[in-house]
Amino acid sequence: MEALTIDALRIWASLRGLELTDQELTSLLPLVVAAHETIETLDEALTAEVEPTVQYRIL
Amino acid sequence: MNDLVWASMVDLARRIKAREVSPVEVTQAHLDRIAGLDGRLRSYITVMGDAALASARAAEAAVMSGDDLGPLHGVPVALKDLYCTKGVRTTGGSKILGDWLPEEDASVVSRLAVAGAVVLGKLNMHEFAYGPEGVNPHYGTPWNPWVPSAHRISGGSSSGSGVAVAAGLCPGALGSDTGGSIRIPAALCGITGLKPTYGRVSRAGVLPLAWSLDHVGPMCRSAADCALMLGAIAGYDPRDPTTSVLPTPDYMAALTGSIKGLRVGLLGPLFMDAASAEVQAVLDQAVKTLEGLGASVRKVSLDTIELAAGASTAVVAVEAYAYHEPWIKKRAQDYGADVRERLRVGAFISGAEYVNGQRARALIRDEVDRALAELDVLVAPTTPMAATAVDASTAEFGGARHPVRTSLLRFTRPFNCTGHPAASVPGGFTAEGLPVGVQIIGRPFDEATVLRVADAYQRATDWHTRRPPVA
Repeated sequence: MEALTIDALRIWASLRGLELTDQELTSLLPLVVAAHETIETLDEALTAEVEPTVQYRIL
Repeated sequence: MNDLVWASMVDLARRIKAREVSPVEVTQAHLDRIAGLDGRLRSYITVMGDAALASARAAEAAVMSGDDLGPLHGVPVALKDLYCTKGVRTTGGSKILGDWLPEEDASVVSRLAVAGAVVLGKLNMHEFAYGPEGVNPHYGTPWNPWVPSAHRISGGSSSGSGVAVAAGLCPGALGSDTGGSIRIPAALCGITGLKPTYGRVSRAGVLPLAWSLDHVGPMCRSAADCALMLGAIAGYDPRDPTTSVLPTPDYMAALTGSIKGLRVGLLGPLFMDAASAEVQAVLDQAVKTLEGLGASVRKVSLDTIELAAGASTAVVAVEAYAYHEPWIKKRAQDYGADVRERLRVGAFISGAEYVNGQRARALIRDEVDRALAELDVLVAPTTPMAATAVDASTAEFGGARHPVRTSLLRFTRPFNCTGHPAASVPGGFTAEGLPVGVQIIGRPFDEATVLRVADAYQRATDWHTRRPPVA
């Protein structure tokens, strides 16, 4: 995946209806990148047969 | 008066029932202590002094008239300020809800009232429960009472609950736990906290952080008090469709004091190995205590625990954003800087990433279930290190510097992902005099065994009876 940039984040934010200044985007970018990297660590473990968890144990 | 603020909830309930002490005296003693100390400790956002005294007077009248009394009759409690209280402001630790007056009580608040509890007030917290440090830019950051001379974090998000219970400003409180928010402040403040199984306690009327990870539970000074409080709040609630219809056991009766023959798994890799040397030493001693009580202990490894950070990040970010989206678009400047940024991250997590987080949770849950098929409980550190300075973003242990936020969550959030019940009990202190927590994890809906182990441990140790050096 291509590295996330400020410009890409700006477009994405706009599509989500978020009005963010350049300063806010700059501050947010490393957090978004870190979140994606953390979530990507799941990819290797998630084989096709793994379904989402269901917490509800109403017995 | 001093003995009243340090008495256990079990003892207070017994003495009130026996007419040895009045609920009014008990309530007034706590209100006096709050007035004397909380200007500095900042554990309360709203003190409900008049309402508490009115409730205490009614409780006293009921005692004198020989009415049937609930298990918490006349016993003071306090509520993290995300529990809705009818006509009493419920801020969520935020400016956004700074003047919000709910029209009805949370289900657990109603259940505490039925049990006879007297509510002293609403407790400080990390804004909207979105942070494990427990800081708050709107109402002041609670002061960890174990270090009067320097401002240390008390852990969060239920920071006010941890401080108030530890400092004798209430004998028990309700916290909430999405990634460790009951257990982390319990560990850092030297008290006992229980995150019950997901579905054991109603979340109706509790401000959410992330619906599928949020848990409601008690924070007290002892496991016995947690058992008493859990018994009052647990059980099916038609207002919360995720609550289980399983019957609620008698948690007090489960506290037999015996754990002979119990099979305990010590979580080694990714837990013990990742903790500071001082925390490891506390856990080693706790294991010896459990063995001395007749439990058998063996080391256990859970490989899928490494997935918890990714799963939790995906799920919390998206669920929290979904709840906050209208406010984050229109009132972003009313959030504290840290929570505003964390919430905005959720706008950039895709649907597939969210579902993958939920899928990873299934893997972790299945592995924990498999381990608990052969063991009765698991034990681990609650946090890898003790309370840090309020302004510290990193902490040094294990020969490296680690980010405070993710380190605090590391050992607790796996069990939010899986929904298993987990408690934190005081296990000792660092050389600096800071409390260290021992985490006990049990099978789904087997809070009784978790509490039995915690109580047996506390009968054999005195860490939970130590008092912080506040006046």
